[in-house]
Order: sequence, then structure tokens, then C-alpha cells
Amino acid sequence: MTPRDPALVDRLAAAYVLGTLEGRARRRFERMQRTSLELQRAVSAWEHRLSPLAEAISAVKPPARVWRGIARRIAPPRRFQSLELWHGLTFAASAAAIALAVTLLLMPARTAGPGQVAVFQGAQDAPLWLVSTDLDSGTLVVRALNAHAVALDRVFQLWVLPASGPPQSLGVLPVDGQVVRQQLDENLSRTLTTAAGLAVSLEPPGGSPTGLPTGPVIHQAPLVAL
Amino acid sequence: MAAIQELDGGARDPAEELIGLLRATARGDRVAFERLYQCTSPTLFGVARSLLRRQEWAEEAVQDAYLRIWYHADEYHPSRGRALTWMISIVRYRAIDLLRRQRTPQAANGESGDRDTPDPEALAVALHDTHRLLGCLGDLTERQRRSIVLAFFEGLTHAELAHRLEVPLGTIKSWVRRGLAILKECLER
Repeated sequence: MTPRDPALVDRLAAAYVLGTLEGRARRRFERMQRTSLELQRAVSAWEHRLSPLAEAISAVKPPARVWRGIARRIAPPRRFQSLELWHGLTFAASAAAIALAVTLLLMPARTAGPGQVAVFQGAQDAPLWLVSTDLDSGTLVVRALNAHAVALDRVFQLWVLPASGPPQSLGVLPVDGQVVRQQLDENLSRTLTTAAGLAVSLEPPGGSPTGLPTGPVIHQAPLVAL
Repeated sequence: MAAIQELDGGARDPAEELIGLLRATARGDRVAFERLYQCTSPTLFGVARSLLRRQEWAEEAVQDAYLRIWYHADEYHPSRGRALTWMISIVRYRAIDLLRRQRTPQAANGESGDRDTPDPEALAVALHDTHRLLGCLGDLTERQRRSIVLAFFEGLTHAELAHRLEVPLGTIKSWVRRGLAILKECLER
């Protein structure tokens, strides 16, 4: 609920931007802000008012490792990049895809708790798979929406792209409307919370024999926290 | 800021260029994103360092901020203000969260040490002509100004401000609130 009183909205926004809004009140304000245009406007106005202070701070070039860390987390690992099919794929989630994912997730009675969602889009924007995680219970659910088997001797395998290090397998993907639910071990759950995104590769039946993607990577999607 | 002005040798409006880079970033253009990083990261890193002091925390805040920018570039709209302001706010909020999470009670109550927070008086004097805000800071009482500047640059909470300035919590709250109200009034004049 957004406060009705404009003076209160303004005061909260000012305290939020300055940083003196603390703890639970700060979190609550952030949540309210996501859906309130009025709060967003008040915050933007205060950011605008106070930003000259921040700009008065002397600029300092960060060490090169900072960019390397960012690049690593937004880019697929090198092994993936060399694969031709990777090119031209976009890693940015479209708002429509996320909206769709949330709608799909809300259809069945969803258990509460922090979770993540990823949508793999097909060529015509038709969603292929919907992946969701429930971090409280450590479960991963994959629904095949419009994904169909491509060949008898090939399966789709799902990978998590960790913030650093090689991709880790999340198993073979379902096709033709099937749903797969699996329990995640603690390590995978942790990897997922900080992961850059998910990817799908084509592998021999039963999945990659090496534990790393061996076939072409054909899709990737960001993992969005809900 | 200097880094921003170097863009294209000043051939284009830097603010416009940042908006263009953000739009390209929203489309998943990694080259544009890297350029955006090169242009703006010194400003964002400076802001993070001022709040967090510790080099590794500041680096973490900057990395988190740019990942957020990469994934949420489409949320920026010029009606929300300048692109740089939007980006600075992202790193500030991230830094404030890290600060509150990492700071032990002891550290929070500790001395300000060798922190290089600009002295509010010096800041107001040195930069008086550069922006109305800094002029408007001059409308505040010394205590209001000091509270706001400390909260902004060091990320101090009300309780930490009260401890640092050795006044009751209620007093600090009213200095900050009144100070912000005066600033707003002055800026809207």
C-alpha cells in the first residue's frame, strides 16, 4: 500500500534516497516503489536533487579486475563463445517474457518463498521452456511449453552459468508439454542464487558424457529473481 | 565527471550519448555496455568508495551495480532524470545495503578515522557556484547540513549520526527531516 499523504510520500522518498530510511522500512519502501508510479516519481525527484553531491565526489578509475568480473558474469564462458550458434542470441530478458513467466507461474497455486524464473524464447517469441526455482524448498521445475524433440539421437540439456567457473548441468530438459521437477543439492542452490543465467545445449541421449556442454549451445536466458 | 566529458572528444552531448549507450545495453549490446562502463565507472566507483571505504566492498558494489544496469537498462527512461543520476543511484543503494549488512556495531560506532568525506563547509564553499544544490546547502544550519552530508557521504543511519554528533536520536531525526525540507524548498524556488 502506497501512503496516501503526498507529504509523507515525499518524506519517505527523501529518506530513502539519502539513506536514512533503514532496515525493514527501507525494504518495504523498495517493494512499494516497484508498483507505485507516485513513489518512483518522488524518488527520481530526490535523486535528481541530491545527485550533485554524489557528482562532487572525485572519480576514481576502478581496477581492471572489476570489469573482468562483470564481463565474466554477463558473458557465456569461453567454451560457449566459440560455438557458432551462440552468436546472435540475446541474453537480455524481454519484459514480455518475464511477464509471461510470472503469469504462467501464478496459474497453479504457487508456494510462497524466494524463487527465480527463466524463460527460453523460440524464434517467433514462442516460449520454449519455463524454468523456475523455489530456493526455500530447493526445487527446480522445468515445463516444456513449445519445445519438441529435434532428433532421436539428440536431447536438450539445461545448464546453469555460474557467476564464475564452468557451467553446471541441471539435467536433460523435458519436451512436448512435459514437466520435470527435481530436488537441488545445496551447492547447486547456492550457484543458482548468484548465477548469470541458464543455457541449453544439444547433447547425445542421456546428456553430455563429460559433465560440460559438448554440443552447440542453442539458447540462453537470464535468471530473474522473483 | 571528467571521464564523461571525454566521450567522443565532446563532439556529442555526453548526456545524450549515455542515454544512447543505455538503450543499446537494453538490447543486449555488449560493446555499448563496455563503453558505458568505461565512461561512467570512475564516477560510480568514487561514489562506492566514499560510502564503503573498503576497496573490496566498493569493487563488489560497482560490479553488482553494473550487473543490475545490464539486466535492467530498459527500466531507465529519460523522464526519470539524467542517465548518470540513475546509475549513481543504483550504486549508492547497493553500497548502502552492503554497508548496513557488513558493518559491525563496533565499526559503526567507531571513529571516522581518515575518511575523506568532503568537509561540508569546504564543499559548500568550493562548489558553491557549480550547482544550486550546493548553494541551497548554504540555507541550512550548520547542524542540519552536517547531518545530511554525513548521511549522504558516509551512509550513516540516524542512530549512527546521533552517536557521531553526540545528540539525542530525536534531535538528529528532526535535523535531517527539516534540512531536507529546506533543501527542497530552496531548489524549487
